[in-house]
Amino acid sequence: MYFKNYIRYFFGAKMLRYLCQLVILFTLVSSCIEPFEGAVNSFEDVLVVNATLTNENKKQEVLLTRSFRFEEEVAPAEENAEVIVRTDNGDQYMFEEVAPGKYLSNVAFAAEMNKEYTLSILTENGQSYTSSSMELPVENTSIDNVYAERTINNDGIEGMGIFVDSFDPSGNSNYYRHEYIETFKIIAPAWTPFDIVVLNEGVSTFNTAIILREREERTCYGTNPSRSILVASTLALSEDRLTKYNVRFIERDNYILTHRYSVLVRQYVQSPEAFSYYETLRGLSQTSGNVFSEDQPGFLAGNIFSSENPTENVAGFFEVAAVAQQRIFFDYEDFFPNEEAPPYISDCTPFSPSAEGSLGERDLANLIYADAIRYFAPGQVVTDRCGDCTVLGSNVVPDFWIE
Amino acid sequence: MSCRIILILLFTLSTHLIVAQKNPSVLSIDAQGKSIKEVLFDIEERTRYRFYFAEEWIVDKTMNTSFSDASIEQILKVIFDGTSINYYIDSSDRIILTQNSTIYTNLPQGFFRDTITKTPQETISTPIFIKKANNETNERIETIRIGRENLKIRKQQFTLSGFVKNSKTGAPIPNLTIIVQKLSRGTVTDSKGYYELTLPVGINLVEASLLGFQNLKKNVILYNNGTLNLSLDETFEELDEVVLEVDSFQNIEDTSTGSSTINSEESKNIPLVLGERDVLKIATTLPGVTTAGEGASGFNVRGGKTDQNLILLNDAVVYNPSHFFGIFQALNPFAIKEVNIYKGSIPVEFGGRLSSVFDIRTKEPSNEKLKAELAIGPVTSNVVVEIPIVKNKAGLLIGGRGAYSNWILRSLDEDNLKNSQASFYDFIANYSHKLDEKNDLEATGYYSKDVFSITSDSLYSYSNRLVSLKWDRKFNERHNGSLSLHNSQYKFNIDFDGSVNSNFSQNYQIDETELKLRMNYIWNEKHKITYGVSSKLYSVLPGEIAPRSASDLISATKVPKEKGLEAAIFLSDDIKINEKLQLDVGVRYAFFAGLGPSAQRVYQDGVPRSDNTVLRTETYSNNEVFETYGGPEARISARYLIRDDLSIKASFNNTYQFIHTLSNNTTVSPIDTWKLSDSNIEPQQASQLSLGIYKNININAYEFSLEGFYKKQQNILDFKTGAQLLLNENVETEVLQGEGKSYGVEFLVRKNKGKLNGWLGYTYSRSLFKLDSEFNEERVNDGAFFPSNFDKPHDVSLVMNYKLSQRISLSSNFIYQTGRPVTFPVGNFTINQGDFVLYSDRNKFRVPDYYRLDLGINFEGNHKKKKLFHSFWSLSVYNVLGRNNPYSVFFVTDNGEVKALQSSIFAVPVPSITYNIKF
Repeated sequence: MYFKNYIRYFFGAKMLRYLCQLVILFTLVSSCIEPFEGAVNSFEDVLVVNATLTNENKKQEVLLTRSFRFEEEVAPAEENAEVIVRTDNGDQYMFEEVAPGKYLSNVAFAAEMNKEYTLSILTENGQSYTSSSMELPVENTSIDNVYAERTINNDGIEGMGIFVDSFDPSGNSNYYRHEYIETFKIIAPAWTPFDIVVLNEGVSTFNTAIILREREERTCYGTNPSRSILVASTLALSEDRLTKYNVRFIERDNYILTHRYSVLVRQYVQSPEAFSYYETLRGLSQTSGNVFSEDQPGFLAGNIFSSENPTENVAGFFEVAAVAQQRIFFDYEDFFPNEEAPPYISDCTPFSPSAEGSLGERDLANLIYADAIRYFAPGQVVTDRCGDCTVLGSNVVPDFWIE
Repeated sequence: MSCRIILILLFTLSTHLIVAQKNPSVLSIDAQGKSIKEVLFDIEERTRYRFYFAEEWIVDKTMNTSFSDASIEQILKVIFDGTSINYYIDSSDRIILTQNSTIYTNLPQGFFRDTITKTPQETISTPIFIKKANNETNERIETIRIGRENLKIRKQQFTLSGFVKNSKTGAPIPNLTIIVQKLSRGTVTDSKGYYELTLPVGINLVEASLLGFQNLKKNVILYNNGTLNLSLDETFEELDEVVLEVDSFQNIEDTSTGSSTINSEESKNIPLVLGERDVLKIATTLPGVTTAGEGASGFNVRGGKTDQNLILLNDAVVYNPSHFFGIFQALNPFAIKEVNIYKGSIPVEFGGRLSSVFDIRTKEPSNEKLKAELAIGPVTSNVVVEIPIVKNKAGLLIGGRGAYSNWILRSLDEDNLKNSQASFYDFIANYSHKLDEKNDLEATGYYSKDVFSITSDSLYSYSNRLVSLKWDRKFNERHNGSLSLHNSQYKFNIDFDGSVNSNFSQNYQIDETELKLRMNYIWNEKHKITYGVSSKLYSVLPGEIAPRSASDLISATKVPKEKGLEAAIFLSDDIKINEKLQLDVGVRYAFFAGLGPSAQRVYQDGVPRSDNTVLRTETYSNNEVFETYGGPEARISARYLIRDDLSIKASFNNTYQFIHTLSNNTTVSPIDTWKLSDSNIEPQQASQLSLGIYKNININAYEFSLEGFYKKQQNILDFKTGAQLLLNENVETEVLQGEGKSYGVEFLVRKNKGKLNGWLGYTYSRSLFKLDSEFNEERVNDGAFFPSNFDKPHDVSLVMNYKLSQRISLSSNFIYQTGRPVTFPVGNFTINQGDFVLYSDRNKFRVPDYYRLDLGINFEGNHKKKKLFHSFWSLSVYNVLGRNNPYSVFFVTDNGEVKALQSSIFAVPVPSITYNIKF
């Protein structure tokens, strides 16, 4: 289904943009894709289950959230639910809520072959849900190689590509999903050892002080998880092999490449049902809406159903998967020796906010209170992220970090 | 079916008409060095006077005068001085030129019964009518005695004979009616002007009349056989307008419901995007025919899907009648004569698609003289040439059309577009040969191709090809028929060459060949019988994918070829029960056989079809029949004439369809594939009942129709969400077959005559689908009826054309439609740190309503007959109101963030200009 994804892609957003451009060309009119102005005012509150049982021996995790409105940022947690995973030979694994909506099994266990696993959920308000029974599709999986290469993407942009090679000689894996977590070193370009604080402020008085910073704010480590669905099938290929499968592309002017970059790639071998769910979900969210191959959207049912009300919609999928992972590191210099480094995430030109004005109208004071600036030089400040890397990442060196 | 030719002769009998806009009483014209014709055109251009004449009358005389402040009469007098031309100026500023003869404004008395009285007579200068005949009250009739009274003769009847001649030229007058009204006895003169009439003894009032001659009355006192030679004076009539109306009551008298005809030539004034005349686009302004939006090819007819229309070009199927994703029709507008659309009762000879038949006919090539038409537009140009091959017997029409977008793209600075290409072209040829009185031959060939690439690494192309051969034969006055052979092909190809190891080339192809015999037999006045048989062989290459080089990991896959035979036998009788009631009763037996070689899967019962529920696979050898479907189709319609201009009609139809598109799109996409029915995909079926009332008023100036329909469909194809259809050998695992129902009322008023003409259509209709199953994954919206993608309850179109003058016309096109149903997101949810959209039940919401106004103005070059060519400018603005009609509303997840976007194709006014030349 490798090539089908290409077709989808080309008849996808790109196609529409292309048609737009042609129409614009022929008619000298402006853009034809724009934000939708009409109101979408209907909201459906459904339970969202995020559960991947793996063959790693660990405390397995189940995330329970609710759907949320467009104007909202974060999914509300489904708290105080009773979560149990059962096997067909009578084993039961109880889960415990360790953070709002995050449930971990009481004991560490690994999913095993030839066992059927079922997820049961009883929510705080008494609704119960059960999943279809799922099995581990393969005993284990392995990644041959994760590597980075300087490359040019389909849009003609230069940057770094993260690729995966994988091969299953038995030919049983077929359905792959990848996730990654990238970590990158950030050095605040306008860092100084000093900070500016408000000493006192009154109707006619306003005094600031320069103090020494108390914590590491120069070098940090930023972390981003993958947010897109990366699925690939090798069924149409002559071998169960992924060659140079692109999991991540970073444009060369992205600041995360500036110093040192690391990425952990996790490879899941999925069941056909789970693969189809993720693939459809990706199709619905990423390339829909184009003129020529508009996917028919609709509620996408997973494998979790309400016990009381069969027509109630439940989003998400309970999957059992084999997993393998590999981490790599590289420096910008390794691939772009003696080339100009990417620009920082924002402009770091120092500026001098006014300390004048009446109480509450002093720009400098307001910026300090809002924690939006850092001290740079006498009379000069920079925006917070230029002088303090903790705005963008953590000042703790990750355990896995190798310089 | 009946055709009537109504000849309407309207006579202007009065010069007292008040003309709203007066011509200037005096004119100044510099005629120095101009020919007579040029002066006449000059006058036409500057005044409302219009000249009517035959070109050959006008001598090549060069004027050497100029007129200043001269009256029209003065000017004309000078112009025609010394020529044999007479002129006559009528009440509506028409100047009629005649050679030698003078026009008189009045007809002789009694020429028409209702024009006898109150005839003004002031304009006659030198009447050559017989004075007596001009004055009814004081009419004196000459009395003539024939023969001598002979008392010995007891005969009561005698023969009057004679010769009638033109008093002016002395030529005999044939076909003159000579009657004696009292006796209801009469005769007609023969070709040499002789007549013979038997009359009783005594006084007979003999009257002679013929159009173009003055009536003559004589009292003949007959005593014996005798001779009476008559000479008649010519009279003159001014025919104000002779309108030949063929089929003007057709809409009333036809038995079929839901049929319309669009004439390509007549549609040239309707403004369309990018200046292309397009009969198929115009079809969508008719009630009951809709399209998903701009840039969407395919039609939804009365709640049917886009694959349910049989689109025929001279009887052969066109699979994809559009270029450039539906923005242009793939048919050369100059080569097309008309399209007949059947959306209600489908004639018995057609079948195989559920919703409609678009029967497109090419022009019959001229077999008299060379003709050519050429149009130059902003994106495309097209040309059609008609070449006589054998004078009055055979002609050839050749047409070509192409887009020059490739050239534009290459000359661009933008890299993105520079490397892309988009072009299309089509060719058409038609050869018609009248072998003799009884045999006609026609051959048509057509090819269209689109090629486009979006990035430098992919190339898409699709093409249509068809050939149609037809032999019409007239066996005798009552029996005729046609035998035709057609072949159609549609294919597409995708080449992808831009990746390390997954480059490929992919093909699809469908071929069909049909042999059809259609016979008409007029049994008697009451029974007209149509019968025939047709058989069609399909061959589908559903897809093949091959790696482009050895390093490509794509394994060569070939979905096996499909073959099928579709056949039908049909018979219908058009029965005229009486003047009022007419029935058209037809039956068609449709049959389909799936032919091997094939491997058909047998699935377990009671579980959803999937790769895991296959019981076994049956294999069939070449041409072995593995599945048959079929059934009778009724084609029944009835018409009852309440009055000459008012009728009601009803019809019932049912249809089978054995070929389906695999598409989960709303619109037709060039990579949609057609699939034949097989063991696991049953034929689609529909049945439709329609009822309509039709009324014409004002001598057919206005046509009204109101039609209602109710349609049920079975086994319509839909697909599971996100189904993979391309190159899927076992597509039945993705298919859902459900029920559909649609109903609606269509209102149409059409004004066919006058300066302002056009139509207004309004449709209220619904189109609903139901996908129910015992399995959760095969059920949509809990198995209840839901609006289909093209359910647009309200649909209004208003097409108007106003003739400002002979050469300038204004046209407009207004469309309003309820927004089409969409599935909207009803929230977000988070999976694996990414936010995704939660969708509502299918088609629960609608995009905003659609409306659009297009305006156009057309300038015709002057009407000089001897001009080298006739030209025609058309200027149009599409979407004048700049309405941003959302084509679709969609939501994308971009870096974990959900965005609502809308797409529209033509969101601002789009002007265009086209120049047409006709030789």
